Amino acid sequence: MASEEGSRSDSQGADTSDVSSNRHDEDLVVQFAAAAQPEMMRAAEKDEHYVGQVCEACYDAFRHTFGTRLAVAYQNEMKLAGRVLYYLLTTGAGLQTLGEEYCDIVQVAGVPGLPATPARRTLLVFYQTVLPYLAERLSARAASRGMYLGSEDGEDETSTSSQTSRVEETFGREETSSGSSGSVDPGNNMEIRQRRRAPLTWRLRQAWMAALRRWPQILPSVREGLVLLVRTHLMLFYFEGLYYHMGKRAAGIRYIFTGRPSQQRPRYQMLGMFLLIQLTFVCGHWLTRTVFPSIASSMRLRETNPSLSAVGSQGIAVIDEDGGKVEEKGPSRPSNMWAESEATASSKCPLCLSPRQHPTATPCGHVFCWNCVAEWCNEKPECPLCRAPVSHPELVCVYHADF
Amino acid sequence: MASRARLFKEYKEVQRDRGQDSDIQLLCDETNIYRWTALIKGPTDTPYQEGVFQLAINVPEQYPLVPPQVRFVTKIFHPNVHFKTGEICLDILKTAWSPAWTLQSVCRAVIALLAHPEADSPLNCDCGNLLRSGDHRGYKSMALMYTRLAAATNV
Repeated sequence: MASEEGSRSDSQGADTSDVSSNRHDEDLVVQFAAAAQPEMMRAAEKDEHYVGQVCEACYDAFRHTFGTRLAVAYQNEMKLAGRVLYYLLTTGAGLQTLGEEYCDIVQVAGVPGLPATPARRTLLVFYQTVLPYLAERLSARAASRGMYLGSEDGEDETSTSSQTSRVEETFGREETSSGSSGSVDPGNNMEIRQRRRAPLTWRLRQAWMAALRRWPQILPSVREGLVLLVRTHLMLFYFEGLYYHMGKRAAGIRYIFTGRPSQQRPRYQMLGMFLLIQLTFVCGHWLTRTVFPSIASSMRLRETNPSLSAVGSQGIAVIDEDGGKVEEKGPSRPSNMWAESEATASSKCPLCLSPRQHPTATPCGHVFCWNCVAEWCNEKPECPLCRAPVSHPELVCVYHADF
Repeated sequence: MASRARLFKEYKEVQRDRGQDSDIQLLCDETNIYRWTALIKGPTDTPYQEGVFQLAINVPEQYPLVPPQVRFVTKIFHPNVHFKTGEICLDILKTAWSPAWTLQSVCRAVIALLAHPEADSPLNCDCGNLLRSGDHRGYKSMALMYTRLAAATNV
């Protein structure tokens, strides 16, 4: 490492070699500067570009060998193959990727700045390529299976769920007083006996089935959560500038900058601030949407305390009004809306009921969209509002009036 | 596609103004925005005043350049409504259509037609003949009977 740095700095300008020789005097362990955010992002973009090319090449090769139908069917696998190939041949072989080389950055493991071990690199390649694919595949499969289960026991789903809940209820009661619950219901008794025989596997299986059944419903929120996670990660990157990819964070692989040091190294703290603000808003919105209503309702349950219940009912009313999105503007909103509709009513086209595009006046003074009124005049040459005769040449596009 | 955009606008407007006009209730088909159902109240001081009449509205693709097809689903005894098919003889639904009409205003026009039967262009000739011969009492009792039979609200 040190010799490499020496040769590099020799080839660079005199001032930099001075700096490095000074460092040589101090201690022989030379520290490269950590890579800055722009370099990492540029490298990542470059890599994505090349990965795309490799994927395309893989796809083409597959298509020529096995035909288009199979190629389309295995499109995602081809993409995966391209990624794996690219990262195995670069990172996996201990070389810089093309993007990293372009930006003069090198992967190192952790703080000491040593090159990453093969195991760590393999882990990184796995994180970057196979893991997302596997997650996507598994979730899709779980979703389809859950939907199948949901449709299979479509109408008796409620009954089974109520049954299971009943069973759990009785099971809970059974732990407290085993004798009485057994005599409640013979059918439940059977099930409980079955459960006693293999309680753990039964319970696991049941939980698994329930999770499968619920997966299609929670999938969108999981996706949303993932997006938020990615955004949080990006925010962290903007602040600390260490890991651009989550895979690199997980594998603990950082970058150092080996190129010619330049004076201007922009930092992205500002972007991080913006992201932080955005995430705060999203979290706040989520809180008002999900957590506060439940708190409010639980407060309303406690009607014994008048002051508490008053707060609760207020919360409920506010949130019920419009999905919890606009709380404090509650009373002022309707009037605002009225004013808005009044204002837009004058600039609306009465034919498409939308804001006017290319306002066009008839000789009788009514104004429409150009398209709307021209089409209608093909149909019938009269004003749609007052039936005054209109012909195409009489239509005037009024661009230079503000109304 | 212009028709779809406009129908969406009308749908939104109907949703917004719901409850304001209690005489007209416009309902859009859940799956097809080109099919609507309207429930209209018979106008007061007419034999239809105690009835609620169902209209089936079929909106063509070229809407609003061509009028929607409206017909009565509920049986009604009216000179300008075909007794069997429910077809409505109304100029704005035929030749005098203008794209400035909306489904809501069409319904209003139908209500106005119920209040002002036009005996000179009858689709229901029996009803038209009653009116043209001046037998208003006969017309009223017939219309009232069918309103109570087919369109009574308390059934």
